[in-house]
Amino acid sequence: MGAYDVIVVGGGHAGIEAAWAAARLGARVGLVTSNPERIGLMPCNPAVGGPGKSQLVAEVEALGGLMGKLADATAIHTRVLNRSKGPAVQSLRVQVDRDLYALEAQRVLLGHPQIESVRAEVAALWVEQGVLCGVQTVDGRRLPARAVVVASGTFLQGVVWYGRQSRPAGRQGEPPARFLSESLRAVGHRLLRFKTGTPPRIQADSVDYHKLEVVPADDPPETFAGVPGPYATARPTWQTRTTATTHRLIQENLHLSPLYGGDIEGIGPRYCPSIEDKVVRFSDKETHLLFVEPDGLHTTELYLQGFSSSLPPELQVQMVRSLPGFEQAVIQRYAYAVEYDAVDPLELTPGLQSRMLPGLFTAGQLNGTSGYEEAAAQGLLAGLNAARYAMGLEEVQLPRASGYIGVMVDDLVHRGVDEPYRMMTSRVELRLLCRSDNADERMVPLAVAWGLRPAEDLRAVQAKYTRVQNELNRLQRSRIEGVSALQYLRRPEASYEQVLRLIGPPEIPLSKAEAYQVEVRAKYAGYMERQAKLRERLKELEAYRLPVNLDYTQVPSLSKEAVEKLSRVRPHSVAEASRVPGIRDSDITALLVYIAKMPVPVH
Amino acid sequence: MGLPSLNDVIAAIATPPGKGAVGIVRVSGEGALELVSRLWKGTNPSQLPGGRFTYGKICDPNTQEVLDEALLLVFRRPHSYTGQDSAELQTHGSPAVLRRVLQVLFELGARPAQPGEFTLRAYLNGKMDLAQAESVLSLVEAESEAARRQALRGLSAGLSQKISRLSEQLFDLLAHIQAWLDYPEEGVEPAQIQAGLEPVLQEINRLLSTAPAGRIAQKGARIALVGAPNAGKSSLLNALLGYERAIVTPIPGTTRDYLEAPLEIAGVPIVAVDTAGVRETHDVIEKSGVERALQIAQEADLVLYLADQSQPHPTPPPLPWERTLKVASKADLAPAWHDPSYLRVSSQTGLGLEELRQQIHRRLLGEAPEGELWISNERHVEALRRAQTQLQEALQAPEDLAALSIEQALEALAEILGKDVSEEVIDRVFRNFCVGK
Repeated sequence: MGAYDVIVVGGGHAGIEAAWAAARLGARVGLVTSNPERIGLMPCNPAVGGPGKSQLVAEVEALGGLMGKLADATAIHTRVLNRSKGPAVQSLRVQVDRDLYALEAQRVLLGHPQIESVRAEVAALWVEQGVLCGVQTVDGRRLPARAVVVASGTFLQGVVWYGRQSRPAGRQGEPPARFLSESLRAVGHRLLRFKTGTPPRIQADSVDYHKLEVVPADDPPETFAGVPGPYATARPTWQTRTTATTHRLIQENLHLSPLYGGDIEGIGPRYCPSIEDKVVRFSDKETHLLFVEPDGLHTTELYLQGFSSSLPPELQVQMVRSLPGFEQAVIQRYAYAVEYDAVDPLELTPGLQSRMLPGLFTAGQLNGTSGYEEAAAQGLLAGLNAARYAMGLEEVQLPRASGYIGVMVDDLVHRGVDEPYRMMTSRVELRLLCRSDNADERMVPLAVAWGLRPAEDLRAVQAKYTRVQNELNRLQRSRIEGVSALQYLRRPEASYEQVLRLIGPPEIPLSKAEAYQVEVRAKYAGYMERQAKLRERLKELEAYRLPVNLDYTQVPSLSKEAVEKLSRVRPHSVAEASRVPGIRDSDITALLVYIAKMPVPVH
Repeated sequence: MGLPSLNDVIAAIATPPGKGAVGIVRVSGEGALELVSRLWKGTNPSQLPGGRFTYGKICDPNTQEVLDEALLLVFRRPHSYTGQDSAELQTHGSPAVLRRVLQVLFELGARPAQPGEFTLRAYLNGKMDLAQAESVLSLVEAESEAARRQALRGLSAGLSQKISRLSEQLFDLLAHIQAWLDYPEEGVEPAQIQAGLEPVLQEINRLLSTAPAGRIAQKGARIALVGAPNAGKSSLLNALLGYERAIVTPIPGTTRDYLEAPLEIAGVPIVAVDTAGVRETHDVIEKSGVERALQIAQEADLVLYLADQSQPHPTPPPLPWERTLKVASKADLAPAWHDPSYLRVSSQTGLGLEELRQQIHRRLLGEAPEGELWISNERHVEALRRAQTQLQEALQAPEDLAALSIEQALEALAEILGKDVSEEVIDRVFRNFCVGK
């Protein structure tokens, strides 16, 4: 076993993208997991995408990542959400076959000549005299590497709760990572304690489907990466509802929950409320909607989305059987809550590198996020930068204005988290400019420059948007009913198709994706222009760089609170500083004056 | 906090508050000259080289109304105070005119300068040496402190509560729209955007309509007394004052220029301006006094037009009638005419004086009851106007775009209150809606 350029710890969605991105750059990657057969496993529901998240998948795809392609290939049901609510919020959600997804991830990943799978539990970071040398395993091996990406998910000091009973575990049925937390603390990281939960899994043939509401798959199916898989329309999903009995069972037994009983100290996410939370906090609602998702084509298991619980197993049986269609249901795996350690992301750089130990990168749930998509996006960025670090190249980042990944990372490393962070469209100021449909335009140039995609991909994207612009120019020149075709298309009831009927098609007809771009760009021109102005303003303060080692106590007139916060967050620019909570206008002025006073570095 | 820009066009009054011989409005930033050219009648400033001045008129581009005659100084980057393209409009010193000019600049897209912002730009663009840096900083700091105190004074507890309530309503509405957009499958009903926005817009309109009264309540008002010679203007001024300030003689035309006297009506500080009598005249000095009187009337917050009711009705001069109170003076003498639109007043007997005071108060401060919320700070007014524009747009737009406009409106209100918009919305999505799986 030789030396690696990059070691990736963990084979979840962050680990997969980290290993893949590093390998794309030519790095020798060691993917260390305690069980390689579980690489690509979906411990939560078997679905990818949805509002806010599908935009992340689109950006990962445009940056040469895997998640979109894996989901497309193993889809069993796809649905476009918010189709009529505008291009900024339209999103794709794909149900996948859980087993196929993991197999496909392993096939693609381990098929890459630069990626080697290593079966081991990592015990510690291997650090000598303050320099990262690799990792040490529980069985005493030392794996040398120039850079390490830790993407260990919820496994750090994981504790799983069933009712008020707990035991150490990373996920159901798997041992936790017991030792790595100590190692992270030893290099100076502050760890947070978070919690999350999952709903029960139901034996598929114990459910009476006639009593459920059917949600059919979109036909034809939509995709993240362009090629629909063979089973993309194969399965419906279903819905059911809680009943008065469900609510009564919960109300009467709240004291049995470790949360309401006060055993769990971790902070749970607001957006992933347990069914107990929903019933207690929204007591005026007589019923709550639940989503019944098949685990796969040949599965024996159903995922009961919306029914997360930390109540004891015997009560879960009664609760499940109070749902229409589930009167005879058999629970295969009980719902549980899990508590785990997370790194405080304020101690990371915008390239997801540790500020405590150069060469160490972290990604995914370990950084205080929630969700496969959030994890994948971070994994890609961390893997890319780990490979660059190993090659002696400078760290790169995705600025906030560039899209969803940029917003998420900026939020994480500059604002910090006090609960698991989930992506939402409302977090993105420039969401009209950062849509799924133009992720290629925004990301492919970066991907090519960084070596994540081949150069011909950039030429293809440029050609696509040139055709779009030419068509917009043609519409500007053509006239319909006394106005330009472009103006005509801006009418709410007008469509590009209709315009083509009136003025004829261009010499080379546009593809479906290109036609969509023309329509969106015509209809939302005014709003997009305004957002473009906002983007320019954002960029302006980005240009005022702050040295990472700036001694904030030496900046005259900076408030005490600002000195404290900025010393901790270490922003790279005045723009980043302005987004740190608690920073006031006068602090920004003080920073601007101070850095203007410093001697200009000689390049 | 809001993200400040260092290149956009900012504007501010550069001369000290109050009436002076000359008032200067300073404008700086990328596109400052193009922006100014839109209110300038005369040589186009965007065609002028730097370091030139030109004479012309300032016009409201919407109404074509001439606000003032002025001198315009053009500076081109980097040869200006700030190092950016800049302009200085030198007007006659009236605060009312300066405010209008500033208002029009804001409507054209300039934004109010933050305290010390011109100086900050000058410094950042290398227009000052190292030694000046520290003093600049302390200056900026002192100015922000003064502005903060001033802003606190302008933002009464009542107003702050009112604006908080408006943002509350908008936050709830925005959270509703976002819950519906981010959780399309979880049974969130679509938000009633129009029904949600209309009461907020109405309240913002109402608050904005109190802006002139708020300014008067805080800074005082100027009242011009105008009328034919010997109509009793100086007597009325003395009667309102309670002592002899103006020289009163029965010889018409005694007040050849004008007299200013401070007084207070129901707690509102008022400067009453007694003007020369308005009539056809060939006397050169008197003639210039008459012109001056009409000019003062144009700039005053309220005009009292006096006509002697014991004499034949004079031909009324050109006055801003929408803010003029008509007074029939010398009501103790036998009337030569009747007109119910005039208030009958006698400075000799005091007849009608109390009623006049009440009407002056009403005309200046509106029907607002005592202690009603007044919005007076220019920055608050400007922020509310931006919120108003955004919300009007939101009314027309589909949901996803309406959400963006409401977000912008909230950003504007947040500048008054100092809140973080994005976290607040997400907070409410989960507080108000049972979403998330």
